[in-house]
Amino acid sequence: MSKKKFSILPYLLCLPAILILIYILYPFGVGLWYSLTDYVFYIPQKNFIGFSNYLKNFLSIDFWISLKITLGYVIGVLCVEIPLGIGIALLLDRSHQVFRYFLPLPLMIPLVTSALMWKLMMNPDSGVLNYLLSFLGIKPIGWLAIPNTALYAIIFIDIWTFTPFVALIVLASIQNIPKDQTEAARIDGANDWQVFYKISIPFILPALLIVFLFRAIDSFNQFTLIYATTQGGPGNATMTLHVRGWYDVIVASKIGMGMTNLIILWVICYILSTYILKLWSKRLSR
Amino acid sequence: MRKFSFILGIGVLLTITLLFSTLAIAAFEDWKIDWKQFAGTHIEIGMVRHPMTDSLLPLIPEFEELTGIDVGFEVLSEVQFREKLLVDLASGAGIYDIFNTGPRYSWKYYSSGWLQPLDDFLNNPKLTDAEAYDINDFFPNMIAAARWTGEFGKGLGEGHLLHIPCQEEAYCLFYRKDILEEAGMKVPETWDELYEAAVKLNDQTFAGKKIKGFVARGIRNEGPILVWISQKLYSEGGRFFDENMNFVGNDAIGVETFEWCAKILQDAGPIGVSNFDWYDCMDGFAAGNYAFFIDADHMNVVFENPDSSQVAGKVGYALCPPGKAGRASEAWYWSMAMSNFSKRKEAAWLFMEWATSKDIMQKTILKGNTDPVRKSVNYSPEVVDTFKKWGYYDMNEELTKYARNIHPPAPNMVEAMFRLGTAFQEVLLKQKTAQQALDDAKRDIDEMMAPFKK
Repeated sequence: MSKKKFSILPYLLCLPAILILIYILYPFGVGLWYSLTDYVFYIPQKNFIGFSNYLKNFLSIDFWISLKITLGYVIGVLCVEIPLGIGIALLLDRSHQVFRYFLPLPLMIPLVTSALMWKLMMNPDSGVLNYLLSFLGIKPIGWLAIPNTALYAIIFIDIWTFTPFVALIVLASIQNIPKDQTEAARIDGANDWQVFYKISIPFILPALLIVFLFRAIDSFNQFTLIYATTQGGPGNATMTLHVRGWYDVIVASKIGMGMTNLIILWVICYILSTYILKLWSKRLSR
Repeated sequence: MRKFSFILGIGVLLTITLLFSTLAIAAFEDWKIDWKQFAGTHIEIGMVRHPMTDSLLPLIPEFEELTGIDVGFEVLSEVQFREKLLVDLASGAGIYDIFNTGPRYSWKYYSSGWLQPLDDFLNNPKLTDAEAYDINDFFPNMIAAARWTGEFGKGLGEGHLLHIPCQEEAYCLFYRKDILEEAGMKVPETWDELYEAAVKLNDQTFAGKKIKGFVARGIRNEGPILVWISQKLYSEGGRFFDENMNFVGNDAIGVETFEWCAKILQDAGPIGVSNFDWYDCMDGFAAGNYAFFIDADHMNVVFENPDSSQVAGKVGYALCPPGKAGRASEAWYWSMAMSNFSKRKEAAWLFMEWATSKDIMQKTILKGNTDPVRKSVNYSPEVVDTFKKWGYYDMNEELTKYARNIHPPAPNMVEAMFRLGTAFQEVLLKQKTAQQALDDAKRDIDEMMAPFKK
């Protein structure tokens, strides 16, 4: 029986990965721990209370309202960004190269800057949006200041910013479609719609799934845009789960409750991404 | 020859600079403390973007020369500043040695063990020249608002000195003299008159501009409650808390107050007022968009400055109208406080002492650090003359009679007021009736206060 010689090298090689893992997991663990306590800033002592925060959250109507708003936001964003992005990509595929340079411009502006820019433009009194609409005889609208329109206004900003992202990825994917397949289909008498539906869509589907995943997780976690424009208001019209987490921790000083909201959000994103990645790898292996 | 005159010029310039800085320092050299005792130390200050800060920043090099202490500072807008400060204090990082705060916030920080009480520094002859600093020169109600025993619901004005006030704001009614004159109306003397006047002037055109009758903060935070809704509530004889710190703001007076405040904004306020913070209101008023505005009195500096205001010389200042129980005003004092996590507390105290001394307060006052917190500054001929020129009301009357911290001290009073701000917004946006919104707020606020009642 030969005894293996102990070597430190493999462990050393793993060390950076382990350090990074700790670096990521430690704050996560702390957050998870806080969600199981009644930690409030102004009471220095914190007690372990099990899953009481989660239970309390599930019984509170505010949580369900936030979840509804979050889902509304994600669905609103995805339903427009994905088809619009595909449409723009198809147009760009056939148009002059020069348009492609303008496409990523909204992505290059820091998100807070675009949010503030749109906030200014949507100002009911002095914003350019209401000014332009006044030529059509439309009375001034308080875009971000009225509960009925605030969420749509933010979804609109999100669409303006991130549709180019969808379009860019889809465009790259479309350009990889083998020309011989589409030409063969056309010779067999397929029209544009059939080519798009039977050849392009299946071909770009893996890329679409990844874009969908990115945009879904980003939208579930969208904080910057909402914080910079409405901070969850007016009333609680834009209080998504992430914003509620911020609100509970920073405004209401309830660390335990805030972390509970964020952990729930994490669970949703985790399940979603696992599911989509499974679909994706299935698609790739086909 | 040319070289010689160049050198001569530089020499003269240097001499003048030195002379001025020596003059500036001279005022402090008579103090019976050693200003140089912490030379070489570095302190870090967290400040809020505010005229008070802007007027102090240019003077900091004078302090560095006087003491040899190196001062670093960071200036952030109010909301972002409070969030960063919260993270700094909660994590115990101790980035800031000194930071801007005020009542209510310092109650929270003190209860959390993040604040260093200042009495030991104030009473230490090695660090403070009591005679030159003269703590009794501060208006007594402002120092009282800075002291708290830490007891829940009581003990304000006693106990530890938690912070030193730098600037005072109480809440007044701004009105447009020219508009009232043109419309042949007088300054409203009751809340009902104010409502009627605001509605009457709403959407009228004056000097070629269509105006709105009334503006005040409507954003969802504690601001609207503190700067104008409380004035109305307390003047009508209402209150938010009883002696046992139970929330009673959902009684008839509370409901009526919320209804009145929401109604005046709905009937005579601008579109989107539910997103208006103080700067939105202030900028709009300075641009001549509104007839009446209730907010912090120190905005006079902005309104009377022709560079920042289109209404300079046209603004009238009045106290908020009295109600059935007389007049009332909440007060806020931007202050300096010391972090408990500071490793250079004594050097930090020297800065606080210098920055809130008579000399520095006098220098900053007309550069934006209104309203004065020291009597000597308030009654200096320069300040009296300027305020008179603006037609500003009698500060002394306001300060001694009405303006005070009307809400009882509690570690989470800020959170409670924020919750009430949410309730007001629900009424303003017609999502709930005033009674419903306040009943819901009562449930949450009583729950918030429960841990302290045990």
